[in-house]
Amino acid sequence: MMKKLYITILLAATGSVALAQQKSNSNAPAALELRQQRSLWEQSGNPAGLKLDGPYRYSQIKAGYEAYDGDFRRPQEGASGNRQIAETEGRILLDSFYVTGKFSYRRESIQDANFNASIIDPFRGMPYIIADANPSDWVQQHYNLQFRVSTPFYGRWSWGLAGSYSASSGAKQRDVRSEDNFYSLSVTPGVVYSISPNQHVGLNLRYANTKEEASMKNVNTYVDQTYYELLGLGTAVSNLGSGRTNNYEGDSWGGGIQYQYKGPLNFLANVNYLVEGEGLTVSYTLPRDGGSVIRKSWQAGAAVQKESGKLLHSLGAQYYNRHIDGIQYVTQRDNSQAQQGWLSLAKYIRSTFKTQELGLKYSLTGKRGPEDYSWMADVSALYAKLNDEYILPYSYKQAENLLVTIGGKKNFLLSAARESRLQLGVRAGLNRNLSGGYQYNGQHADYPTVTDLETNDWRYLASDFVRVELPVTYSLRIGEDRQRVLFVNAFGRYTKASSFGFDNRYTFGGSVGLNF
Amino acid sequence: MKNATWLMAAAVLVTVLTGSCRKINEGLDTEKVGNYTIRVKAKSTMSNITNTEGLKVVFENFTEGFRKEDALGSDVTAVDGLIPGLYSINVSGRVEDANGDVFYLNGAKINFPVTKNDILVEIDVAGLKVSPLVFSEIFFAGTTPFYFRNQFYEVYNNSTDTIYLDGLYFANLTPTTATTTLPRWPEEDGNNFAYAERIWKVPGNGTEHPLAPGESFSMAQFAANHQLPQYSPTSPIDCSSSEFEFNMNNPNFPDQPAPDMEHVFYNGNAGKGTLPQYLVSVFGGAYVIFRVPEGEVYDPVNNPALKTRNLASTSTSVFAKVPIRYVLDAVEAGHNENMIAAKRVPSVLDAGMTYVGATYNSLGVARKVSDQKNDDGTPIYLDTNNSTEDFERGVKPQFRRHGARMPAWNHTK
Repeated sequence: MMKKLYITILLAATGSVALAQQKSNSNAPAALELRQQRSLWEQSGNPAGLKLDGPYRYSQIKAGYEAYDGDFRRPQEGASGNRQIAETEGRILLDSFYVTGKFSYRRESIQDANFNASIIDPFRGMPYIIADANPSDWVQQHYNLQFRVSTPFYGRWSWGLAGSYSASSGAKQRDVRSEDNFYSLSVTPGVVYSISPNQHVGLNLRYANTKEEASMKNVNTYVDQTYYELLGLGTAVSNLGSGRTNNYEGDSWGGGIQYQYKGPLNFLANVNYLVEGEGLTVSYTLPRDGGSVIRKSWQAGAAVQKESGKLLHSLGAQYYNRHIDGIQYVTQRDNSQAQQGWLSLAKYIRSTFKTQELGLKYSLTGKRGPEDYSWMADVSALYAKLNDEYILPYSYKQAENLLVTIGGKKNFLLSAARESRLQLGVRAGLNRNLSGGYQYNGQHADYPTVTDLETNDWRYLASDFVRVELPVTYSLRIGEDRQRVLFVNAFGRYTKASSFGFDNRYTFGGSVGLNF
Repeated sequence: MKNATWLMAAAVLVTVLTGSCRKINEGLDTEKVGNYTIRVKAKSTMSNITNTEGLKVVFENFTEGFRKEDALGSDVTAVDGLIPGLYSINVSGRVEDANGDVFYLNGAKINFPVTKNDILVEIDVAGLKVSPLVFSEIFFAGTTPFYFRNQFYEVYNNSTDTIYLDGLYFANLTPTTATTTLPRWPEEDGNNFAYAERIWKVPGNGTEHPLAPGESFSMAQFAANHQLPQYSPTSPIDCSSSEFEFNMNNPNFPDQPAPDMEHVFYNGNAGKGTLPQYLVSVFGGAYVIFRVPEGEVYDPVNNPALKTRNLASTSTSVFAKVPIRYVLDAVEAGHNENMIAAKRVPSVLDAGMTYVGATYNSLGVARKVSDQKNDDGTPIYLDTNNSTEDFERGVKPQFRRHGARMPAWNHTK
């Protein structure tokens, strides 16, 4: 059964199933972009609603490269770095079942990242990590495999199933070194009930399991390194030596509900809730509870679209709320003959990490027929509020920001013969910090985890900046039957900060790919 | 077959569901941290002292660097504002008995869990034996890159009497490095012993090495001038004037002019073993000086009752038992401030721990001076039986700091 499932995903992702190719220009990048914009069920996360977005067939394969540099960054991000990316994606109809699949691989070389010696992604909501004060390179590899299946309607019911498997590995290149392996597996079953031809309601569940192992060591065994067990907001326990083994294991449960009205307007509202529990166990031979978290996330969104022959209006609102409880344990080593191990005597919520985001976006698309557009313009605003607290002794880190973005894109049809197109875009954003502060009242205020890591992290989060992004895509049809679309895209993103002495951060990249 | 497959799938599903729910439910059940109050009662074990009012009680959570200090009342004293965790609780101070004599009392509980509110902790306090000899300076960290032969231990006469060092024992205790993996010792030993890895003794016939008040002597791993090019030019210390040397008969680091300490015990034997130097952990060890009372014989090599294995280990290494009542002074050193939670020295000998925070950083620890001095201006050192408080940390090593004098019999004179 699993073998068949894998084969189906891979076939869908690589598009190697023999299919009668569509004669339209539906696999041009602009057409795919337009379809993506219309796919409100896909954005809701319920796979059972995919067919209500309107199934379409295509396959894509692409390879890309990105690089970044600049001092406007969080301390745990690399000072610079680059990524090589390979992706393949596809959508097919197998009988009446709509199947989508995606596989991606990313290799990342990170230079001079600070304060992370134990975790591949220090921003994933796990505060209990190991940090050292040696800026270090990391080499990481990330794999991701996804599928979604949507059944035909059986009466008023349609069913769906989505799954994803992510695996990452990473290695820190300087003592204290760390070798990390991470995986995440998620399953999302869903159902849609059609109240009427114009109205649908959906329900989906979600289960995910994650695990990350990190083994630390020194290559230069003569020099014992200072490292810190982070407990949140700069609170840390200092150690000397070669580190330890960390084992993170997590589970999450959640679900979402959706409502769609599709008439003169296309309206979809959805609410998702997710609760995650993740624990850190230190060492396998003599395991000790090193901390755990409970993450509770709410996400609510509503989108409405009105489409005519010439224009597509889209208005969307999103609200996101994540609350993390950081739980620390009181552990004691029991060396008695009967025990010989660590006991957890008590546990307490010692810290809370709250993030709230409210976003509004309006976009207007000038269409060129049903599957193409001539231009796009959008304006959006994102309000974000961070409120992290260490309860005893009380410390806080807060930041409140408003980011306003305006963007536009023009789709030039350069030649009708091979439908060669050039899409030129520009996007500009202005971020204003509204309020915030970082105050540490715990012990060892002189630790670099306070003076450097958290202080500079807060400065980044509370900075004003201007961001400009320029995306360019060129595409044309190739082959005798002109069914395949070759595309090349590139982008440059420049962020200029105006707070706390930060200067800038730039990212550029490009990819080449084929839609078929 | 089909039913079996479904049953297996159901079993896996139930396991996953219950397992994942447990992890989440345990997290959701966790309460928010709050301040705790602990009631403390000190009980004097001295018959002539019953009043412990006014003694200082200190709660220290070394892992989190949290400290709370209070004064004891006449009976039970409530100490509030404690965050949950493992605490070292120390009670100390001076009290008068009915005759007006002053005693320094001390008592402690190590790694006491504060996880419940309003519980009563009773701590026995006893009159502290004031040692005439104290460790005044210890250098264990070595010098970069990886030079460790300049380790030394300086001992000071903190009393008003001349003391003969002949027959004074020096030992480092096990575990050699601070660790939470503590040994397990025979139950019948009770709390009566410290356990030494290696023991040395000051040579002499009983009167060869007098140490006058205000004088100090040092024992060096290798009593050479370490700043010579062939050793470690960046060494912070020249040990050639050390009074004694731990000579391990290493031809590459030959015997120096300083007299050798007499070797007493290592791994159950009188022989020194095959190690080429007397290296004690550069993270910091635990050290004791002790003297055998007159009329008693201390022979851990030949007396099986005075040696033991670590019962928690399969290792055959044998350690010497050092009766705690013999001990004059003890100092425990560890990696850094957080390793105090991994104490291996009984709190009655040293209620704290000192550290320099790194290895090979050329820094040592030096005992703080009290606010009193001898008539000749030599210092009187602080000795509260707590090396966390008694020692300055991270100092450049130096012999005879604060004007301590060299004994007349030093070999360089």
